[in-house]
Amino acid sequence: MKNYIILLTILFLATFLNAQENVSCRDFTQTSVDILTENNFLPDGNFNSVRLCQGDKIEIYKPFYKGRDYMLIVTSEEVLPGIIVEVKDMTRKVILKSDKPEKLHQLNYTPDKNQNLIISVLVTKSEEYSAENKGCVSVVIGFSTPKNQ
Amino acid sequence: MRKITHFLIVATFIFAALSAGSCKNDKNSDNKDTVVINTDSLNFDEKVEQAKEIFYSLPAPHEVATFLIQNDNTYFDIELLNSVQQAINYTTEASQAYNLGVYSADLSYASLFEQNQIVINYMATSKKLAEQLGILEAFDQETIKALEENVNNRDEVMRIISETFMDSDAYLQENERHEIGAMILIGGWIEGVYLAIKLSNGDPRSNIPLASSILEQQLSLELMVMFLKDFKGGEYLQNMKTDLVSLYDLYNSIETDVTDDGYLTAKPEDFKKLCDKIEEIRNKIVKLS
Repeated sequence: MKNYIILLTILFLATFLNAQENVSCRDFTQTSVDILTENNFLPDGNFNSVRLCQGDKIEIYKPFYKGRDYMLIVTSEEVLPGIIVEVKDMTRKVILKSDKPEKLHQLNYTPDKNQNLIISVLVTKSEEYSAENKGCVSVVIGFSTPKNQ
Repeated sequence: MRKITHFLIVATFIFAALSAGSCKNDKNSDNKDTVVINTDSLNFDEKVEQAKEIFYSLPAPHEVATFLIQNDNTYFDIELLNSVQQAINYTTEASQAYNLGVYSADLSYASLFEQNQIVINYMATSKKLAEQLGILEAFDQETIKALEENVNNRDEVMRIISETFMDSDAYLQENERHEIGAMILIGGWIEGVYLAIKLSNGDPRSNIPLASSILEQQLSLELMVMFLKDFKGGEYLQNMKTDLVSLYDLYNSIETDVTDDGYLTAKPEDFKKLCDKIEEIRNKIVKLS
């Protein structure tokens, strides 16, 4: 009986820890949402956040429409060394790129044509950070809204 | 012997719990989570094999409504909305999810034209569907209160809608309910385009910028089809996939032209075919039970 109680407690803890691991990225993402709002951009409503390790890469596919202004906020948690961002067209030609690894990238983009684009985010590697560290990386995309109504 | 077995089980769980959140022991990061997308049918040049995770940032209902409907010659017509009275008929997860998307698009449309009471009613209906789908966290009482307090501020209402949508998406992703998330987005997209085609009267000449925006939605549809291609879903999603592929084929078959002002246009008969197909899919969604 005692062993079953211990087992159930451990099960609960394991589930709780896993849930906590996932949930925390939503709070982390809110900072990016706030940056967009402060700059009068409306978040597109998609939740593109995930916990990553050094060397991991994610990609976001998104339609971009000409005549609209977009702002991309790409952030990583402090436990990760930094991230590099590239925006590519569907032939994988790079059309926008961050200069160097950072923990926060703010990119403005106004397309000159309608096209689907790929936002690639790579977590850089560094010996100054523990390779065991896993942290949230989030990509929040905002668009401008016309003010003429 | 039994004690040893129990100890081993407990030890395994301790190990699993402690290793969650760490990278070195995360074998998944190397292979299991890798998504391979076959894009051959869409004529893309290469296959994506390296990313740990792929996100499809499909247009959310408020984005579709903003892009499509917000131009100088559009107007608000309550008759175009899916009635809130219909919500009682949505008893399956699929009908609730698709129509949560539909109501979100209607809510955004009403918000763009500052139809305050309708915004509140549609948010309340969306909350009920979200409750039935088990995603109430995103539509909590504070959200409804914030909406009521800011109902005269269109920008603030749109911000609340967009953050509510992101909260729902986060909740569904983190609980691995991707199919429900996809259905909400598809329902919202279809309703947004439906509202636009009704406002265009099914004629590309009646509102040229609006018709252009409708034709430009081929881009969003392309991503949606690409996303659904490798998505294993149930019957409702499979049926929708067939409808969306057929709509995508129709879009591809239409010959478009560009006006001097840079707007996309098409022959009236082709545009009408497109409008009819969109209306057919939308009516299927709102009649689901």
